[in-house]
Parts: sequence; structure tokens; C-alpha cells
Amino acid sequence: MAAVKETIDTVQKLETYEHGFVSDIEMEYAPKGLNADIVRFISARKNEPEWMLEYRLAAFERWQSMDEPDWAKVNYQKVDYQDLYYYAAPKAKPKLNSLDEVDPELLAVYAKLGIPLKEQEVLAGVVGSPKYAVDAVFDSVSVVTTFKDELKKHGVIFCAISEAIREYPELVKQYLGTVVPVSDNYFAALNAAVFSDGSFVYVPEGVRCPMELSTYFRINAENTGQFERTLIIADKGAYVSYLEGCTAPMRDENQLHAAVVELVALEDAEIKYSTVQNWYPGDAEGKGGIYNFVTKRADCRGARSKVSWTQVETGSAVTWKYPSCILRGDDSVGEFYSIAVTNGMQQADTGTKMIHLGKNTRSRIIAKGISAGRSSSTYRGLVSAHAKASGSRNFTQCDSLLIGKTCASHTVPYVESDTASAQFEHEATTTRLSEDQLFYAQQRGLTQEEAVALLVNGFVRDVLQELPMEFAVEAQKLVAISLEGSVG
Amino acid sequence: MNAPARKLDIFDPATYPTRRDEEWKYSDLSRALREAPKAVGLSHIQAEVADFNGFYWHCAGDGQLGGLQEAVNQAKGRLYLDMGDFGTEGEVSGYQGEGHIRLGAGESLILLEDYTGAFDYAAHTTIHFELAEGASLIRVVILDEPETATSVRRSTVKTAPDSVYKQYVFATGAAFQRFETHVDHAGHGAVVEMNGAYLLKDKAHFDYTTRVRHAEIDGVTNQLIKGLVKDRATAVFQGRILVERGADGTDARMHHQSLMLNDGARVRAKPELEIYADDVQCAHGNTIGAMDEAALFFCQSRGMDEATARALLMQAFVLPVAEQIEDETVRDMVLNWIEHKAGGFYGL
Amino acid sequence: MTMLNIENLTVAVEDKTILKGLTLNVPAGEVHAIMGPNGAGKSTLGYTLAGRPNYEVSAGSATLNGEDLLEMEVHERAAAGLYLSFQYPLEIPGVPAMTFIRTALNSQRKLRGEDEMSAPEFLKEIRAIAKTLKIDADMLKRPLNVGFSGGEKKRMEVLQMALLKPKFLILDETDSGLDIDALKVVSDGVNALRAPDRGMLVITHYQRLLDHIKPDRIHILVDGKIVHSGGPELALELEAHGYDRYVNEAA
Repeated sequence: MAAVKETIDTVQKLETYEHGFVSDIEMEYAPKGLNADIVRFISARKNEPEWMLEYRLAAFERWQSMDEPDWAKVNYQKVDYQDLYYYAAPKAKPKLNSLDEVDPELLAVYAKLGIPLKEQEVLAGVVGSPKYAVDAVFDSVSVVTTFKDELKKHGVIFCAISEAIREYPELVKQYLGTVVPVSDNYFAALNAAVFSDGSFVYVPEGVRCPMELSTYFRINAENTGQFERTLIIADKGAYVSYLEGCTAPMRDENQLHAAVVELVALEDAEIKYSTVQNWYPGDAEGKGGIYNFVTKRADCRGARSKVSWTQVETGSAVTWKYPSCILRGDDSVGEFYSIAVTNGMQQADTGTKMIHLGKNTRSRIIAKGISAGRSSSTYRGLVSAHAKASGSRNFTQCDSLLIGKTCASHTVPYVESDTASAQFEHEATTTRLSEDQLFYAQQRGLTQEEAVALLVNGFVRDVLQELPMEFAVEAQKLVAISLEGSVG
Repeated sequence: MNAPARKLDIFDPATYPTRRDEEWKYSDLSRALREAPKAVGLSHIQAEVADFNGFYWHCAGDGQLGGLQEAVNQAKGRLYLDMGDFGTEGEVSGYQGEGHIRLGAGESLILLEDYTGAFDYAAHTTIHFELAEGASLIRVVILDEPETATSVRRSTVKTAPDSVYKQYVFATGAAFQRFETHVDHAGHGAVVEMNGAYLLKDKAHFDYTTRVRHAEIDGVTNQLIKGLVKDRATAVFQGRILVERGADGTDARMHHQSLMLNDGARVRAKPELEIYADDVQCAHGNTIGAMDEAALFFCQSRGMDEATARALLMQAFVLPVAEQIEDETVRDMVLNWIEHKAGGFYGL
Repeated sequence: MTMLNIENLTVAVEDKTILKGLTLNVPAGEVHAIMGPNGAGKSTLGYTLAGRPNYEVSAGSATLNGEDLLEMEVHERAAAGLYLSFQYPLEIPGVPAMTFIRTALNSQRKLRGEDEMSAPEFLKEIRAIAKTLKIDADMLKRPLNVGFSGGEKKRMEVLQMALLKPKFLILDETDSGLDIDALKVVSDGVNALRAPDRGMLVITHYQRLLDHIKPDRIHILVDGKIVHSGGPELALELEAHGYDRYVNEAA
């Protein structure tokens, strides 16, 4: 019961969105709007090699010929792509060598968010938590990456992707765009043209990354799109666990976040990728909030490789996101564990794709959607087996919980099998929060809020268990906070 | 009104849906039918009124669906619709038609629709059903069309409080075969069932698409669809249960189970729930897989050879759909049909 | 004369060796029991003799009345007279119990070159047996084992053995999931099948079942091998002292 009590306390302590403050940091912007010159500007600001500029320009050209997708169950005011800034960076020294050179104002922002940027610190409020290496991305740039040297001793590369393009061009060239090609979709093409920063991870053969890696994304500047690009490669037999967190200020206008994340797992490698997404969701009337249009995909390229996606999605006004696994290697494994909470006027269309190409590949999908207020939550997922994917297995469990009379919940699974020896099972349920259970809990002395928190925690338990422990606690609070005021 | 989103005219290729239409994602009519079929007149004379196993026999083939209501009025609760389409060899004949059936308050009808045919044809037929309060329609559909046929069979159904609409579709597929039902669920004690079984072999394509919209309180929907797919056949199941705001007390369940008998067969399933009300119980389940090896071993360990055991399990897989039919005459007819088809199907 | 003859049987399941050179002989007319701790390989023995896929025999032999079981298909073993009563009988949705049993019976007869049993004859016989086992006629029309209780499933297993009249019975943990009344009905059914020309192998973890089906000999199976054999009194000793002594010996 302690966890419940703590959750309630946290809820009461907070307004609606804890991270909604704006920081006054001196910024440098690219001119508003998008054209080939802006792409060149971004590339030049990052001192990129010629091949990278060409890659961006080709992507930009491709993007211009594409249409914004409209098949998702989300309605939103279309983005005016010419009314955005595509580059916003804190004015600072061009190159930072140590944390001491980071603008103290910026450090203050991260301190306020509870993100440890000093290596002796641990995550805010978490006693005895293990070490976390953090890459902090502020609007368009990575401001600092911690524990780089310690990781290097193990051969692990963890740095901003802009740095990787300069320092490890061969690795980047070999893998960038091989999982999510430029032409994959509208937002992926846009990202490829204008991405500004993000994280790069390479774990060499046989290495088990000695600490959790994490990236913390912060949108601060007004009218600015954030286009992060993350590339993680686990070489043969390597293991890495990576976590990302996201927040943004409360603003009345919508802001665009169009990220691309690519994961490559070679033979026997394992990548665990966790997300706690808490972008500003907009106010109760649906004003403002982040458009979270994200392409995340993993390529289980090697035999017996494994990729596990875990996401807790509580933020954003509109979410369009399908972390997927291409199960190419024989005996490879893909997992997707998701909690998507929508409240107020939020809309989420999220799910996964498990593409079984190799023999005896296995996938598992556990998706829990909770809708409250006037929000809408859609699970959209694809499970497919290629003719050669003999012996492949999928199990999908997809549950939706409705709180209140004005929310919506949808389940849209696509199941495609071309092989007789594949075994696919899909189960889905939609129910409301049980009044009987609420009553039972309340009769035993819980307040209504406590009872809701308790039941919801029970509902999402299977997924919370997949998160690194420290974040499971935080995610549990976040879920409760997001649902504040949804009953009664 | 819950109706097909897309206007289709079989004689106008510009109206053929393609796989880019989400509703036709897995059944691309424009690829199946590359040009308009030839419009033909009546290819056979309307049969004399006859009796078929105690059913009033009405011929409505070749898209001649004008006289349905009159046939219902004559049928005294048991109507056999002979939906034979006879094309011409080497040339695609086109048939298109719409019909209406309305059941008054408390009326009941057992409707047996028998779709057969020969040679090359492309048919697009639509039947609109309307049920008044307390009416009951049991609809048993046999789609036993030739492998050369292109066939789109659509229906819209408007139910009323306390009415019963039960649909049982049994299909062997065709070059292209789609059975599409759009139900407006009136709730208030109304019950809807849309079940089906398919036995697909060779290059057959069968698409079973169901759309049910709950806009009122206390509606019940149940769906059980089971099928066998072998050779290079394709089975498509698209089900959508839509529960509108305020349709509290809705209880809707949809289950699709497919057994794939060899590599090369294909199954595509898209079972959707779209829910805007909170006081609901909705569930769907979808399984696709090979035969249960443990059950096979169990049968063999009791002395059945592999072929016998497989045939027994295959029949057992689809029979539960037919066994739900309450009317004994119709049930036996369907069970016989399945067994008959099974002979050719199981390769025994 | 020895009916079931197993010599040096070595069996692996998914690359893990479970039976490690098991030797066992059961003469016609006798009931032998196999007892052993969990994981000793008791069920593996039953499945291997019945021919379950993926049970790989790497060495040894198993014959029934001199016929090589291991060379036969699953259903051929059944027709040869081997009956395995499953610990967890499978549910077969869509197949009425009656249909299932008649199909199995006639398949066996066909393979043995015998005539099919006529429907009236079959009905008469199954009804008579069902009555002694307290199986409702209605249950025979329901899909086999679907929604049946543990006791009902086991009675259905006994019904099948009584109809199929196998030469050799293997009862795999037949007592699991049974209350005392059901255990009595099932045991009576099995005892009724004891005959000079029929052998039985009763696989069980507990002595309880052996109070009802009295064995002529008991074999203790530990880690894939028979480590000790003795008379019926062995069961009582095991009940009192457990398997520890034999487990330690095997280790």
C-alpha cells in the first residue's frame, strides 16, 4: 500500500504537468521554414562530412514528393512545415570538453527535471540506484554525455549522433538508414533531412554494457520541431539496456517531435529499449501539446538476437508510434510491452509490427491501453509470417480499460500468415474500470483516487515488470498522475 | 446507416476497389477483374414455384433480386433462395442486382441462400434486410461457386429491439469471393450473430467481412468464424465491432480461428474493436496455426492412421459453426454439405 | 512368457536424455507398477512406447509379444494392442466421444484385417460399458473431454480401453486429479480388464492407486533407470520412507 500512498501524495503535490516550465536559455536558431538551404545550414552547423549532407538532401527531395499519412485514428491540425524552426541550440561554446563548460542555466534545467548530469549523482529521488550514463539532448543538440570515458574502457561507444558522424563515420555509414530507410514514411524522410541530434550506441562483440544508457530529451524553444535520431548497434553477443525520457514545456501551440530510432542486433545480441514518454500533453481543452510522430524499428539481423521494446506513453497531444521488430535472424526474438495512457483530449495511435522472416522466430506483444477524459487510444499492430518463417510463434494480449463515458478505445490488429507451421494467437478485451472492484476497495478503506490507482496499477502490472526497476516506480507514478481527476 | 463505404458498379472498372482501399486491403477486386464483364439478360427462365425440403423455392440467380419480398410473403417462414449464376465459357458474364426483405413485428424467417453457378461470371448482389421489433431472421448462406467466379455478395441489415439476426456463412471460395455484411444493431435486447466456416483449397480466395454498429444500449453480438486453408488458397477475415457513445451494456465477442494445412496457403485477419462507450464487454480472439500435434498424437495412439486422424480433426474444427444452427433440417443439410465438400477437401 | 520387453532403452527429448538404458519385462497376465520421483522419466516411458513425436530413441529396444514397437507408427502400435491412458487426456473439440471411439476402433480393426463393428453392435457395447463406469449417455454425445472434470476424463479413458480391448495397458498417473469415489470407479474398471492374456504397467508417483490396483511387481525408476524392483510390499516402504534412499543411490 506504500506505493499507492506515495502515488497519491505525488498526485496531490503536483498540478497537472510537472515538467511544464520554460527555461530562459540564450538560443541560436536557423531561419524559420524548410528548404534545401536549411538542410545545408543544419549540416554545416554540425560540421558534417559531404556524404551526410548528400544523404540529407536526398531525403529532403524524397520528403517533398510524399504525403502526410492520414490512416491513423487521430485528428489534428496539420503542421505548417514552413512555420517551424528546424534548428534551435543553446548558444554556447562550439565544443564542450567537460561538464564544467556546460551553461549553468542548462544544468539547472536538468537538475530541476531530476536528471543526473554529474557523474557522481544518481537519479533524483532514487536511493541506491545503479549508475546511469546520460546523453542530454536539449532542443536540437546534445549538450552533454556522461560516463563516456568509463564506457570507452569497455569498448562501448555512447555519444551524440552528430559526434558519431564525425568520429565514427564508417560505423554510421554502415548502419544509418538500414533499418528505417529514408523512403519508409513521411516523418522518417523529414527526420532524415533535418535531424539534429540524438544518441549513438555501439556495443562491441561479446560485451555486456556495464551500465544502463539513457537519453533525456527536452524540448524548450518555441515553434521548434525536434528531430532526434538514434542508432544503437549491438554486435555479436553484446547486450545493452537503453532508456529514454522526454519532457517539454506547457505551451499553447502544438510542437512537432518526429524522431527515428534504429536498432541493429547481430548474432546472439540483445537490446532492451525502454521509453518513458511524458511530452506535454496539452491542456484539458486540447490546447497545445506535442505531436509525437515517431518511427522506431529494430532489425534482429543475427540468429538468436533479441530486442525488447518497453514503453510507457503518458504524454503528447497526438502520438503516432509503432516500435517494431524485423525478425530476420533464425530463432530471433521480438518483444513489445506497452502502457499507453490518454486523458483530457489526448490521442494515441500506437502499437507494433512483428515481421517474422527467419525460422523459429518468436514474438510477444502485451499492450495495455487506458483511456480517460475525452481522449482516444488506439492499439494498431501487425504480426506477419513470411513463407520461410517456419515454426514462428506470436502471442498478443491487448487489453483496454475505459474510464468515463466520453473516451474511446480501439483495437486494430492485422494478422498475416503465409506459413502453415506458424502459430499466432491474439486476444483482446475492452472493459471499463469495474465499479464493483472500486466499491470493494473503497469499502476496505481506500479513497476513490487510491482505489483507481490500485486497480490501474494492477491492470498494467505485466508491463511495468519489464521496465528497469527504478523507472518502473516512476512510471507507476506517472500513470497515476496522468489519470488524475478521471473518476468522480 | 451502416452501409458499404464504397459504391461498386460491376460494369464500371473505375469503381473497383484496390488494395489501397483499407476496406479492401486483402482483396483487390481491380486485380481480380481487369475489365468490365459483359452485361447479359436472363440466362434461364424463372423456375416454377416448387418445394425444396419443406422450403418455398425461389430462383433469384443472375442478379434477379427484384421479387424477394413477394417470395418471403409466400414462403410461410421457410424460404430457399436459389442464387445460381450461369456464365458463359470463355467470356465473363456480369450480374448485378439489389433486393429487399422486410420482416414485420414478431415475424420469423429461415432463409437458405444457395449460391452456385457455372463458367465465368462476375456477380455483385446486395440484399437489404430490415427487421421490425421481435422479428427473427436465421440466414444460412452456402457459397458453393465455381473456381472461375468473381463474386461480391453484400448485405445490409437493420435490426430492431428484441429482434434476432443470425447469419451462418459456409464458403469454398472462388477466383475472388467476398461476403460482406453491414449490421445496424438496434440494441435493447436485440441479438446478432455472424458466424461462418470456410473450406478453401487450390487457388480459392474467400473474404468474409463483417461490420456491426452498436448505437443503442444492451445489444449482444457474437461471432465465431472458423476455417481450413490448404494449397495456395487465401482466407481473409475482417471484422469490426463499433460501439457508439452511449451504447452501454453492449456485449460483443468476435472469434476467428484458422487452420493452415500447408505452406503456401495464406491467412489475413483484421478483427477490430472501435469503442466509444465505457460500460461494455468486448473481446476478440484470433488464432492462426497448424493442426494441434498433441491432439493428432492422441488420436493416433488410439489406433487411427494419420489421414483418418487429420480428417477427423479437420471436420471437427469447422463443425461447431454448423452445429449452432438450431433448425434441424437446415443443420443436417449443412452438415451433409460440409461432409460432402470434406470428401474432396481432405484428400481422402 | 514375457509380453512387454524393454532392453536398455535410451531416449532423449529435445536433446536432453531422459531414459538412460532402461530395462523392464512384464509377462502376460501380470500388473507391474513403475514408481519414482518427479522428473525420473515415468511419463517419458509411456510416451516413448506409444510413439510420441520428438521422443528420440538412441539405443535399446522395446517389443510387445515379440513385435518391435519402435519400428511401428503410432496407430500401428495401438492396433498391435498397446493402449496408453494419458495423464492429461486431450480435449477434442467438435468430435463427439462416441464418434471418436468408433473411428479409433474401426481404424484398428481395419488395420488388423477385421470387419468394422456395426453401429448397433457398437452402441450396445458402449452403452453397457458406460453404465458400469457411471458415464451418462449424454456425455458420449458431447465433444470428447471438452469441459469434462478430471474424473470424467479418466472414466472416459477407461471406457476406451474397455471398448478397444488392448493387449497391454499403460496407465500414466491415472489417479491424478481423482477424488476417492472416482478413483474407485476407475480402479474397478481397470481391474475388470485384468486377464491372463493381458499385461499392465501402472505409472504412479503415489502408493494410493496401488491400494486399488494391486500390482504383482513394483519397479523404482530414478534418473532414467530402474534402480530397484520388488514385490507389492515395496509400495508401503516407499510410502513410509520416500524415494530419498533410491535417489541417493542413483546419484
